[in-house]
Amino acid sequence: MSTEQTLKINIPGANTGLVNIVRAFVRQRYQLVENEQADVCIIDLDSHKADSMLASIREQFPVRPIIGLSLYDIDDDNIVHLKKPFRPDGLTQVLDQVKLDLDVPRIIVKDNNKGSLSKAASAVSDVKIGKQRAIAQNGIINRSKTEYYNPSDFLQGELIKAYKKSTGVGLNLRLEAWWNPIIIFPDIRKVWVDADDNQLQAYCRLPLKRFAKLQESTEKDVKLTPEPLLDMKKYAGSLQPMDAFLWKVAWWNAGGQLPVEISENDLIYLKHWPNITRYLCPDNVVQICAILHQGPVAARRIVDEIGFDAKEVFSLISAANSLGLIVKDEGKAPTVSVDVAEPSETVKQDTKKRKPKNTGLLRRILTHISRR
Amino acid sequence: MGQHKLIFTGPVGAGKTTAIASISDEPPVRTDELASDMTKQRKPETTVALDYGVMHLPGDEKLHLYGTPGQERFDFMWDILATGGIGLMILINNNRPDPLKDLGFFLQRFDTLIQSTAVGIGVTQRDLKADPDITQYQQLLKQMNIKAPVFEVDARSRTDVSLLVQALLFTLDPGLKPEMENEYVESKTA
Repeated sequence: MSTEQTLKINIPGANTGLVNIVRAFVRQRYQLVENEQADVCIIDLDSHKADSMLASIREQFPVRPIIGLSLYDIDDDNIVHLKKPFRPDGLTQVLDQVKLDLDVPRIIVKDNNKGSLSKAASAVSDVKIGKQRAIAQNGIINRSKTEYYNPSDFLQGELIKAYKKSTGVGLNLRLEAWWNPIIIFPDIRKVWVDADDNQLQAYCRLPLKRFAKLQESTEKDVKLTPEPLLDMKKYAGSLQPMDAFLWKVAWWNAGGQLPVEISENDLIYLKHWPNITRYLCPDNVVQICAILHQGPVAARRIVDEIGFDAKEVFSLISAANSLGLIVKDEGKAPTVSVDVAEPSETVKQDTKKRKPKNTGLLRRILTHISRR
Repeated sequence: MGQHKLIFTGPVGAGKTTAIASISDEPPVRTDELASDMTKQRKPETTVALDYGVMHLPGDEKLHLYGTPGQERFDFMWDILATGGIGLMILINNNRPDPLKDLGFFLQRFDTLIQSTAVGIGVTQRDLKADPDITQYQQLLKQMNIKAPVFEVDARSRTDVSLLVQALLFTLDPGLKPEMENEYVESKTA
């Protein structure tokens, strides 16, 4: 679903009163439709037919998100709970969040003799559905709790170890971790893997141990073996720079979480700018990098004060950290301001820099160059 | 009607003319001539005065994009062009004999503008010669105590050049926010 598309809602079994209320609340933003066309269902869980409606919807549309309205707390991770009585903005916030989740590109993985990957993709879907829950209580979206991941549990950790070993001994290495082999060529600083980004992204969503289980593998460890170089032409076309590859693996491994070694309140900064023209670079990467490059700042502060999506900020920090670009402040450098409303006094560290007088102009240039 | 300048500089063959063309709203004005000195070994035509492009901003404002001539014998032009610039873009041709020395030279030569504004550095032609890598440029900047974005850039790519300009703008003010749709339309029609 693209962001321009209207979210289609169905309210099965609801009385006219509830339909009218919802219609009034979501007017012009969402569309009420018949069951078959809906993207999301709203169910009054306090109605006497709730259980049968829920079962019916789940049988017909197993992956369709369900928003449950109830006076009571509910114990079902697969329902987005909106507690009654709810306010209009509470309902629209929940719908916005559901729409956002639906807008995340679906991972499509062809079977192609990669049965394990298809299983993995299924598992990814399960994880994603599970994470859609717990969005709202009393109609107010809670600030998401920061989550952490351990890079060592994912491809990222194994890749970093393999890079170190490969560059250390100057040897081409083959990394096998219950998936397609990844071959590292340290001399040309490139890696090769026979998979596209959709497949890699799906693989990156789960800890490696899960793949071992999915494949019922008897292999307990990741394998790292020398790769005899027979014919470099065989790899041409699919080679990727090592740093760009690790960046995106870390981004996807993070899945919007911070690595365990960085707390959301740690003061951190970028040692230098990443080479973002050659890396996975969603919309706000340039600005977040600029903030992190100015001087020490907490990840949580970037999210709360600038208002970026926490997942984007945390994934970027994880990716930069995988390349060794994140430095924890040891109390020597001054902190930076990340005010938005006024031209920021960002560069206290560099006192020679003037406070920008021409913020309006800079904004117009930014808008112009981002738009075309 | 506001008139503003963004300066592109760098050695011969770094892609200044191409970079300006990739983000200019109008076909750029070029002052190429047949090269008659050592430059002809690098490319048959080179910029002898300046390159010029423009971005039309809302409210009849203009951002003039000036590219300095690459040859040092025209360096008397550089200060004239740089005066009043909102920032500096340095493009470095990685395929030249000593690109790190080139960068050091331009950083020093435009020190006044850099100290009062900001600089963004694009490294071109890395597909032809991979060394030095971007990390070595970062190390040079650190030695010179300069904080600046350095990206690998294809001067023909609008995306690459645009990202570098955006990095320059956010270096000037990391809290910058693009104008909202209605703001932009209003100021454009004002």
